[in-house]
Amino acid sequence: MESELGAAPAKADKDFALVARIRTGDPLAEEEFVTAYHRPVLLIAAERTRDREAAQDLAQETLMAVLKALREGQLREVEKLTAFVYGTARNVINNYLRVKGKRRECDMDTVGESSTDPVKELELTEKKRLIKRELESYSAVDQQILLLSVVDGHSLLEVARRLRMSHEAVRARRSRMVRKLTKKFGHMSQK
Amino acid sequence: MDYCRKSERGDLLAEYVGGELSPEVQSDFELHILECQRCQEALETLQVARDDLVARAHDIRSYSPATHTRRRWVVVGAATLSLILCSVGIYWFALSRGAGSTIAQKPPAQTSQVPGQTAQAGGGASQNGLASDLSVSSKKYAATPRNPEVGANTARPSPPATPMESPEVEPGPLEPPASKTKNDLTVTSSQNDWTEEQEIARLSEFTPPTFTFSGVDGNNTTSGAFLPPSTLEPGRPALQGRARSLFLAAMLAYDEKRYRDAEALLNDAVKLAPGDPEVSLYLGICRLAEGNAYDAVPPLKSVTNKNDSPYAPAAHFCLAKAYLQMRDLYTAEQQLKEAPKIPEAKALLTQVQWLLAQRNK
Repeated sequence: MESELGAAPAKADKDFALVARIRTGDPLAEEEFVTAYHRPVLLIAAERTRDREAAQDLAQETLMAVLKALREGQLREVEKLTAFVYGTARNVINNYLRVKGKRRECDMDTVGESSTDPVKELELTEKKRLIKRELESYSAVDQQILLLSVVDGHSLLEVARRLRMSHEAVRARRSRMVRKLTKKFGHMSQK
Repeated sequence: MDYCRKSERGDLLAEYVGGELSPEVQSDFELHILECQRCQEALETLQVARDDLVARAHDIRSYSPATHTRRRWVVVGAATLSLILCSVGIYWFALSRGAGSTIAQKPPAQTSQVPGQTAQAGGGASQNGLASDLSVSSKKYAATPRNPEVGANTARPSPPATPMESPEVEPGPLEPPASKTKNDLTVTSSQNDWTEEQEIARLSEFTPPTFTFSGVDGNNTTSGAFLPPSTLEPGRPALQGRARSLFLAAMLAYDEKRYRDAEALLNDAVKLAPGDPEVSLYLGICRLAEGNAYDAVPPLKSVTNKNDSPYAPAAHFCLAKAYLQMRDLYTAEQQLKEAPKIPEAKALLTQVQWLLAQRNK
């Protein structure tokens, strides 16, 4: 608890310094900002659009918009930098979805990495391979639970009905699988 | 809200990826993701997993729960079958060992032989070594006679393996068992037990009396080992109303030897006419014919409690059969003594008394 309470002011101080440096035109500060926020914005955009390429573009667009605003001193409450980034990302993503006219589109043909870093690309490929092997080791029922809930977006009740299982059993199995996956492969994520 | 802890449990992250979160919670969680390294890693892992699931979606979807259920039942069925086969194998093994030791003590196949002859004959391969098992249980039951009226529907020993209803097999002739020779007395203790068991099983065989049903106003007659009177006969007090209808329907079923159906109808009839001895008597007979000796006792007892009833001798005889099926020779003897008017009861009494005498020896 103490660490949490202590971490908040420390982050606020850090954000305050970072914003001040960006405002003065420090390129290292901008790079630092992009390093800190690119990945989470990309993840959120990918989650909302289900389109990694579009997510890359949207993440870039979001960070550009935030940097522009920071340079121009539009952020009045510096301690709310994260909220500002999130608000911008949400607006950009929603605007994209509105234009596309669909929400939660899932077009797997477009799935692919546009990363130009060969090391990151290799790491991601290895991670994919291991996760694939892990998923294949799960029972057919478990894989169906994940597919129906995580990919198709069906409610747990619907999944339970389709698989003729109890709601509680489906929920427990899904949680167990997600927990196992994140515990096993979370540390392999690209920093 | 502690999103990290919830995310670690797998619930929140799965709900987020599954699009199940409310807009408010989703916004809060996304804001948290922007600052939390661990949740970012977890989310990325789950997104990669989702990509793999999408790539293999066709294969995963081809799995059918019905197929899975069928497969599971096949496995369960195969396991059950294996278990049964193993049990049968073990049973036969035990049986063959038991039969091997008693093969020279088998009784004669013909039930017309008197008890004394059965120990000598040594034939009768048709009644095989099952008797060795029965003798064990019979000794137990004989040693601890039970009162069937107390807890008639509670756990009770199963009736003997010999059929209760076998019209082809007539009870043995009533030759006096005094013809036993000196050699007969040389049988071992186990042979004695075995012979007694067989004898009791034979004596307890029960053939329900025939009830010839020829219509409500026709001449309905009874025949068989004993002749209980019928209320349907002219001059006898008859049942009335619904009870009569049920009784007639029951006796139609009885006539066709559908004793279970008859018992069900008589059960209803006895509720409408609880004091009617004929309904109670045939209810007891049906239960006895079905092999439910313990359940047969209460209705039969209700008939014998009225000593002046014309149905009492028949009820006593049936009770004796019921007690024999329960391996209670002493009570069977008492019941048979109460039915001297029935010739077969007299003959049966002699044989029961002989068995009791053998037991006392």
